[in-house]
Amino acid sequence: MLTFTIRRLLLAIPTLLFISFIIFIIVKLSPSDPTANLPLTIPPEVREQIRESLGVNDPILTQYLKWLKLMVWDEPLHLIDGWLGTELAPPETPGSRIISYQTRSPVMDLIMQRMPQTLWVVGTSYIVGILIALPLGIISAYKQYSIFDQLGTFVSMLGFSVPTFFTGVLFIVIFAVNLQWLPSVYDTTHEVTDWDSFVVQFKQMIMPVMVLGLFNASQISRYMRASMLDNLNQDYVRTARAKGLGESTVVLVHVLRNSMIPVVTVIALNVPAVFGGAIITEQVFKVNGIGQLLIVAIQAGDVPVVQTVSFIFAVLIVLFNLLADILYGVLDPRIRYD
Amino acid sequence: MTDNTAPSVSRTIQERPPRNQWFDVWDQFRTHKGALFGLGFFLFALAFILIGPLLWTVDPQFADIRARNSNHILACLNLPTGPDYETFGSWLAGRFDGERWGIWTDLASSCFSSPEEFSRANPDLFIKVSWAHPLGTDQLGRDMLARLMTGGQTSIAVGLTAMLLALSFGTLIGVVAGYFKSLDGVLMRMTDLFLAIPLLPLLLVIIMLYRDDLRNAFGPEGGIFVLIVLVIGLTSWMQTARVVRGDVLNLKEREFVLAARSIGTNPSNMIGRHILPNVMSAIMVSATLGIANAIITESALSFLGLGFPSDFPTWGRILFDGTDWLSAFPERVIWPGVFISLTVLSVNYIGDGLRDALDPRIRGR
Repeated sequence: MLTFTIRRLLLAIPTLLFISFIIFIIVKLSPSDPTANLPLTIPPEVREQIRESLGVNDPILTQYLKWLKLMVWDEPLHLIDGWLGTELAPPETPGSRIISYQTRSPVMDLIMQRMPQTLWVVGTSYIVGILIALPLGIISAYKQYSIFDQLGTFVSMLGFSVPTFFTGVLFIVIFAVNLQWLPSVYDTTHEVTDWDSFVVQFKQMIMPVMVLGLFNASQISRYMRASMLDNLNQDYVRTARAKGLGESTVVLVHVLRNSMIPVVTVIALNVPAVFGGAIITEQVFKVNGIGQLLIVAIQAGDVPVVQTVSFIFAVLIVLFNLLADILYGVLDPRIRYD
Repeated sequence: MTDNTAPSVSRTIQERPPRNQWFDVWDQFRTHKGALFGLGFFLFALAFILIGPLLWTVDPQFADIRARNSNHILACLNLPTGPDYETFGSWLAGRFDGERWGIWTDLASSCFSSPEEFSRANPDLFIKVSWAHPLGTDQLGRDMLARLMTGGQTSIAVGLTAMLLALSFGTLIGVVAGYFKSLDGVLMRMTDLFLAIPLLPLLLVIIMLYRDDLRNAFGPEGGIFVLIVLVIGLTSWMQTARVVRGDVLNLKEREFVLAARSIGTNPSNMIGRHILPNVMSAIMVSATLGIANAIITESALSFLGLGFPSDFPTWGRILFDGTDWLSAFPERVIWPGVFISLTVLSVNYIGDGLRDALDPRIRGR
């Protein structure tokens, strides 16, 4: 198991290098000019000097390697310093951080400011999604073809097909505009200090969390149902019943434990996609998280922010793929890799 | 010596006429209620976007400035009949109150029968309806029904073209990887790499950066169409490639392939005649998923403001434009949203039904 994990970790490195190169090259090959948004009164020589100072005129490979070193070495060190208060990172000189074109501040600081909101909304919605999906899938499979099952599969098909930007807007129309129960805009400056402010926080989280949560739940419950159905007809279930075990023990201990194996990996595999989906949800509910940072950066042509955020998404995908692989091996002794 | 006379063919009396296998597929498909609904709605949507503009000949670009910001005609059903509702309970009570019910039916019927006069006579109701614009107009006075029709044409065209592109690319990669062992490793590593790319951020970046170039090359409408189709097509072929490769690997071990090889069939004939027809079912199922995926991705891009422009709308773009007017005109968001959702739902159901119908182990039972 350990050798497998190490091998997979090593394999992840070329993948990340490749993706980082693609992200880098797509942005670099484009005709967009970092000085294009500056006033036209700036004389061409000065404009050229600005371009020089941004390092845009170096050979592509040099630029890429410099960027990569900053991305995978210096910036994570700054990150650790920020968390633990250590002094690992090299002192800040011009060019030692990835700087946003828009705000002239280090990109990593921007991301650290935005991360909590995204994590808070995305994390809660994923947990809510799982909590809805598991019982739904279990009961659907156990009572196959019953009314509950048919309703459940229909609802999960619906949740799977209706895009989150429409459910989000629909929720706003119903609960914020017509009924006026919930706020339509997520206020990220709100601080929870006492019970009342907690209620406000809870109310403003309901809609974004439910929109993302229902979407996740519909995907996971389909897998849960299929996986339970696969196991319910197995011989070991008959054996367990023949031994005289109670129905709840058979289903919730024997069948569920085996059915959870593929579902757990699906849950791990879906995490990056949920972050991607959060881009849209953040836009709908005006949460100023990472997705919103990305959209604003794209519209402003802020290349360093776009590259860094995309790279973080790529790291998430590779990391959770790895996690899913390892989990699969840990949970299912039949698929040990060594 | 060889006998020149043809051997007498033993004729058996056929009890029913010979049937193509697609009849069996259709018979199985018919038993899936969701799939039938899906097919029905998809055909309706096609009729709406293709035949609709022939019947409803309003120009979607024409700005009828006097009629701008009209409500849809169904707003007649949602007229206030009393004080505002504070809670859900009082709202519900209002619906079942006999007196209010009477007021409501009177209002609604006069509103439906002569909407223009009704809107003018009741300025306090803040309603502006007209049968000339049954789904209302936008802030420039463009007719929503006509816009939904042309928007649907673009949405579904994007879905179909991007799906075809992804499908052909995925099938090519899948068949080559499955059939030629020497290329398998390389192609599948490439597929894995593509699967690890964060798609939505990358799509946004590509569109933002290359939009203007393509607009110059193909014109404002063609450019963005080509860009979106290419971008969606080239980033969603991986699942098809994986499924097709698996099927091809499986088929390669079958006896009929061995037999074909033993009579000297060359690889291109082998793939075209023996392999491809047998992976058709997998390809068709991933085609339906591909349409759904492409329609959703396109509308998500338009929703983020990085898709089609407002004067060349898709359903996603109309929805995005409507979000600015959400509280006053929720119908501008709801109609395009309902069309997107139902189209995707119907395509997904068709895929579900096809999966069952094309599986010979399930069919015929």
